[in-house]
Amino acid sequence: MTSESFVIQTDGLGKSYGEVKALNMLDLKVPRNSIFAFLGPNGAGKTTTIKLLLGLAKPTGGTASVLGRNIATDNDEIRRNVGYLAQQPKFYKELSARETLRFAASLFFKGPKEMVEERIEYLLGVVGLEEKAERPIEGFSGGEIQRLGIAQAQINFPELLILDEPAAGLDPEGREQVLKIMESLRHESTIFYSTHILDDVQRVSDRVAILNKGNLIAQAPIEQLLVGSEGVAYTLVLEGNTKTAYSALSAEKWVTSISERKEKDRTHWVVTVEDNSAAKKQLLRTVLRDDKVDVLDFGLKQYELEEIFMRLVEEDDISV
Amino acid sequence: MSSKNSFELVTVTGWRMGFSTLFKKELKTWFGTNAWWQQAGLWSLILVMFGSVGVGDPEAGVFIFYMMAMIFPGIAIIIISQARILEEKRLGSAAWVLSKPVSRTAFIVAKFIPSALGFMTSMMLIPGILFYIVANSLLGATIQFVPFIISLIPLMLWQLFLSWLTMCLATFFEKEGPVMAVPFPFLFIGPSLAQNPTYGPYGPWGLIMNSISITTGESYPIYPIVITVVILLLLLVIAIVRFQKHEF
Repeated sequence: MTSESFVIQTDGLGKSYGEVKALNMLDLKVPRNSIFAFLGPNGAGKTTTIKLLLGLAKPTGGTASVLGRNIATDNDEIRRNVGYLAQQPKFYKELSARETLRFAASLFFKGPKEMVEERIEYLLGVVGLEEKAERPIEGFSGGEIQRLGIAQAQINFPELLILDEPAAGLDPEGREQVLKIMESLRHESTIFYSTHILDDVQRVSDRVAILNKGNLIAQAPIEQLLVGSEGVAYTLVLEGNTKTAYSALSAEKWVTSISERKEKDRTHWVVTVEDNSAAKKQLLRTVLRDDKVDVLDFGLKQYELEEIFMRLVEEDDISV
Repeated sequence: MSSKNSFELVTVTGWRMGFSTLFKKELKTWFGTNAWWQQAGLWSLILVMFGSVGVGDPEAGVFIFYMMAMIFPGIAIIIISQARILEEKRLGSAAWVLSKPVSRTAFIVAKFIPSALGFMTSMMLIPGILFYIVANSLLGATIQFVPFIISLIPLMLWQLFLSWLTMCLATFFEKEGPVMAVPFPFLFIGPSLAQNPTYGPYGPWGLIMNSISITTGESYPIYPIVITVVILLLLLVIAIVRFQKHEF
C-alpha cells in the first residue's frame, strides 16, 4: 500500500506527562475505507492518541499525518475533513438535537440553508432521532447522546470518522443501535474507533490495532489476527482409545503439536499444523485409520478475539 | 442525498476560523434567553433601591448608586464568568468545539466580547437608565441625562475588568477556587482603594471616581480609564496565549 492509501499514519508518535509515558513510539497505519478498531484496556493510551491526531493535545515525540496532512502544521485542514465523537460527548445542554446539528453544520457550511436543513434531517433519520429533534438534549439518555454524537460527527461528510469508545457505557439495545449506525456509515467514511469491547470489534471491524500501556502490540486485519500466532489449528473431539491415533498423527511431518485434554470419556485435541493443505487432506483420514477411535467432532479452530487479546496483553505485560 | 460539493463551504482561516458561529451562539446564550432581562430586572431593583436611599440628597443618592453598582453586580459577574470557560473545559464541550474547524483565539474572543456586552447591558446600562428615571421623575433629583449615561462607562469598564480577569484565570486553572480567589478581593477592597488619594488613580478601582467626577463636574485623573483599557487588552492576550497551550 502507498502512503496515500492510509488515512492515518503515525511514525514514532509519543506523549509523556512528566515521567509518565502515555503513548510510546506509536507506528499506526489506518487504510482508507476500513473500519479500524483501536483496541486496548482502559488507560492504554487510545484517547490520548485520538487527541493528538485532532490537535487537542501536542505530541512529545514522533510525527503523524491524517488524510495526508501533518497533525502539527496542518491541523485546521484536518479538522475540516474529519468527524469526531468524544468518549463522553458533551454538547450545549440548552440546545435541541436539531440546533446542535445546525451549530456543528455552521462551522463547515455557509449554505444553502435548505440543503443544510436537508442534511440535518437526513442525519437525524440515520441515527433515529427525528422524533426527539426539537427537545433540549439535557433530557437525552446516554444512547441518544451517543447517536446525536455520531450524527454531528458526520455532518461535514468526513473522509474519516474518529469515534472514541462509541458504545461504552450503553445498554445492549443502545450498543446494538450504535454498531448498526457504524456499519451503515461504512461506505461513506473510513471509521477509526477506539474500544475495549471485544465483541464489537469482532462484529464490525475489518482491521484492528491493540494498544497496551501506551505500546502498540499488534496491528493486522481481523481475520489474520484471529488465525493466531501459532498458525492454523484443528480441533477434534474423540471417543475410545486414542493412543495409536495420537502416535500416527504425531509422526506426520506437517503436524507441529498436539495438545490433549481429557473430559469424562472424551478426548479433546488441538492439532497445530504447518502445512494446511496437507492437513486438510490427511488429518482426519490418519485418525480414522485406527478403528479403536471414533471422531465426534472435527473442525478448524476458531480463535476468539478475547483469547488473542488476553494473550497479547499478558505477553506484553511480562516483557515490560 | 446531497453531497459535500453542493454546499457553500466556510473557508475562513486563521484566528477568525469559527468566530462568527461562536460569537452568535454566545450572544444568544445571553440575549436569546431569559438571562438578560432577569439579570437586568434583579440589578435594577437592587441598585434603584439603594440609590433611592439618598433621595434627600441627590448627590449622595448617585454616589450610593455608583458604589453599589461597583460591588453587587460584580459578585454575579465573577460567578457567571468563571463558569463560561471553566465549565466548558471541564465538561468537554470546549474539546468538542475545538475538534471542529475553530481557532482557539476565536473561542476565547467569542467568550470575552459577548459576555462583556451582556454584563454591561443588563447589569449597568439598564439599571442606570431606570435609576435615572426613578431619581428624576419620582424622587425629585435633577441629574443630567447625558453626563450620567457617560458616567456609566467607567463602571462598565470595571465590570469588564472583573469579568475578563476571571475568564483569563479560568484559562489557567481547572477549579473555581483559584479562579475566583483573585477577583473577589478586588471587588471588596476596590471601593476603599478608590478613595485612597495615593493609590486611587492608579488602578481599575479608581474608575468609580471617574464616574463620580463626570456627574459632579469635578476633575479626576484619567489614569484609571487608561490603565484599565491596557489591563483589559493584556488579559485578553494572556488568555489567548494560555489557551493556545491548553491540552484537553
